Amino acid sequence: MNKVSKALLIVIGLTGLGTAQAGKVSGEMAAQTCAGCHGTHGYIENSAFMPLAGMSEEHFISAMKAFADGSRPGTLMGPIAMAFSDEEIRAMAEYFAQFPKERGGQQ
Amino acid sequence: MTAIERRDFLKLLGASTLAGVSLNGKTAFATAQPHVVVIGGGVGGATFSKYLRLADEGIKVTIIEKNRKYLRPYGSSEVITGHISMDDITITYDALRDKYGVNFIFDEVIGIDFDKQRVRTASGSNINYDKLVVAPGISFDFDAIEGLDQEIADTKIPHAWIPGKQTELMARQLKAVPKGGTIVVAPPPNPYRCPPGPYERAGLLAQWLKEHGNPTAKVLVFDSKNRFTTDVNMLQAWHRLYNFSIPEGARKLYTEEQLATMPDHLEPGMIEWVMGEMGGRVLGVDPDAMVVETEAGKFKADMINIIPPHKAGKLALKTGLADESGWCPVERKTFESTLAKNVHVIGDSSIADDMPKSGYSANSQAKVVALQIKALLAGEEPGTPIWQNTCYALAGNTDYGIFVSDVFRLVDGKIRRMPYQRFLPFDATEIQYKLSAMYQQNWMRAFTEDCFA
Amino acid sequence: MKKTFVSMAMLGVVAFSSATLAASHERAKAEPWTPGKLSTTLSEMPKGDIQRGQKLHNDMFCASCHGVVGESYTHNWPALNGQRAEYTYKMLLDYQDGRRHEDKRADIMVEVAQFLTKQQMADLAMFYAAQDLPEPQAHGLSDEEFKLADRMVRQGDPTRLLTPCASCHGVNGEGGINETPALAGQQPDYFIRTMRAFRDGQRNNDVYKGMSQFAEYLSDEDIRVLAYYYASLDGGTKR
Repeated sequence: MNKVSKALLIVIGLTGLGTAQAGKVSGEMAAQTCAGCHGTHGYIENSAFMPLAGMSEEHFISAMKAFADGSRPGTLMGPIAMAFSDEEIRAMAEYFAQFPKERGGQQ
Repeated sequence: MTAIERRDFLKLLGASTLAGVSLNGKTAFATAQPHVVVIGGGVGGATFSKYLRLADEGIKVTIIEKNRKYLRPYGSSEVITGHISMDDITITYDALRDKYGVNFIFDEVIGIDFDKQRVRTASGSNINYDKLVVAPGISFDFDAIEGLDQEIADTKIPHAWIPGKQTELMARQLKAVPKGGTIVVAPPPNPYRCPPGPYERAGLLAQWLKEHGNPTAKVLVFDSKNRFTTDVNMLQAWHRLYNFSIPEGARKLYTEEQLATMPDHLEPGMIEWVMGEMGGRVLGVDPDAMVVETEAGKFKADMINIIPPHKAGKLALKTGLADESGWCPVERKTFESTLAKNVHVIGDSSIADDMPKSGYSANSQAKVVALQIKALLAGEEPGTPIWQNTCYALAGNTDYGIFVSDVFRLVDGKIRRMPYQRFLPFDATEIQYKLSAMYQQNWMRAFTEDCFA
Repeated sequence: MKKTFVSMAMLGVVAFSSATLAASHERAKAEPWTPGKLSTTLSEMPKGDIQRGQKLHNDMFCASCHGVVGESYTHNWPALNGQRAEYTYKMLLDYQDGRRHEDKRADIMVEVAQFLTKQQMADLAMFYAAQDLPEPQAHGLSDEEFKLADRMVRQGDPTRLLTPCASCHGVNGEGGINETPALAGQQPDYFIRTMRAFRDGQRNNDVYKGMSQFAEYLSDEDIRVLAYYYASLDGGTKR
């Protein structure tokens, strides 16, 4: 991360994302941002991107953690995972886990 | 009632005999149903409608759209180079209508009565709304370029920044470029739709020329700007693929070590980027003589692609939803217009601070606003928003992909980009570029499905 | 402190070459395998290095899709952890030569496999083989269904000339002779998709129809119960 980003991050850290905006981002609100690649509600088939619908919370969280800390290299999932807080990642995990793996019976 | 509204009304009556709420969005509520009207069936309008219906089938959603089919602008440059066809970028509204129960009125909006909360169409219908979402995309400021107007753009000097006849014109013009000929691509000044887009197009054109036995042809990029989104990656890619030498003014984008990996080519390159500080700004064009006038002088070319400066979509300008900047001011949390109550403006037309004008941004804003409007209609507080803009582009060669990836939050009343890496690193490996190119193709499909299917 | 995102130095993994970029568009269809060819190929498999394999797994972005140790955690593609080295090696060769191409996801592997040398394939194969097999998951089958699967695995079905799955894939799904893969703990959806692809012909990189000749006789129900049966196995003694 270059110096400017680090400085900005510290500033945001000091002001606290929590104080800069009131309230928390819901799992649904956060998870919706994923759909452009991972499909609506995390349903996508035969694609380079993995489906998220029905993924276990544990797996979702460990994947996002691995992307964020670099132990799982990728193209852009690293920065994206870093941009969400642990709480938001947990909320997203819960959100995706509630969907059945198969969309209404189709494979 | 128009014919379409009557049909919908009958559908609702029929559905009201069903017990409970079906998955097709036909609800049991035939009366006292909130009505959200959406003007514009592009990425913003479509995504919003689908997601609002997913969030609450009890809300009636109607899209008013001029065209019965949608030509997707993202990736449309690939039609020019023949990589895909016009059919490939043609999207129908069937899924929105049949799967999500979105109503459609194919008509043109000629006016909005903000007090009576009513939209008037060319065919004479008046459609009442509880909430209105306006997503009219972009329009062009032809006045800013001497010698350019709509008719000339349609026939001689296309921008093809909204796909259609101009896209097909560019494809024809490309095939007619003579050996050693010149193509001019003039990207617009900020802000504009799809920041890396014009440069991706320049790369695609260069690649086409290369593959079609015309490696001595040139693509001249005349720019009023000195930076563009993905410039570090794009210029590096062009250096590798098209003999591009980093111009003097762009050297400061790189470290000395990085510059050492990109020595000037001995041969002149296929692409040249004339930056704003070198006089790249386009002042005018002579369509008959095929001459572009820039601050640096006049240049004759065989094919000229000038993308004029952008403004909000015509409808937003006509109905007073835009301010002096030519863009629509909105309350950032809900994208409600600051100039009209119960009207939300999303997508390219809106002022969204750090968010670029892009398909993904429109899609992201649409989804946030769907949740916010659901809350507002239920008398609840809108939630804390978060947005994303993630999108892959080609550097020209279809094996060489790059991307932008952003997450945005509301900080002190403005939409701010979170400070994480946005692009591929300079030392990204070949497989990363290859994967990114593959992801680009997958992204097109996945993204289109998320908006329209 | 979070590591900087992908600030890897050039590793000399693959020097940037437009040759590779050009080559990926033309790929000669390779000859189908014979037992002899396979045997030779496997005996000539370079000695793989686990550490190098791990580095490749990260640098070549296998991890991006397949997870930190190849565990994948998605039905979109297979778990690689604990897979037999010869099988992984053969699969990479099959992708590289275009022998395996059953759907869009396989096409992605075909593209990325162009970047690998045989030594790198062997290194990757050894890395995955050194990992534990995937966590078994509860099969959720009824007693009847479990019996059906178990019978096919251990005894086969003489009425359909089905030899026991175990005779090639091992009693505990740990994989067996030559290139037959470990199946223990594999993603059930991936298993189902794969068996259908063998049965219906989209996948035909097996030697002398070694798999498809049996898959041909399996019903959707057979495949489904086998998928969940195998997903619940732990491969026996851990290597």
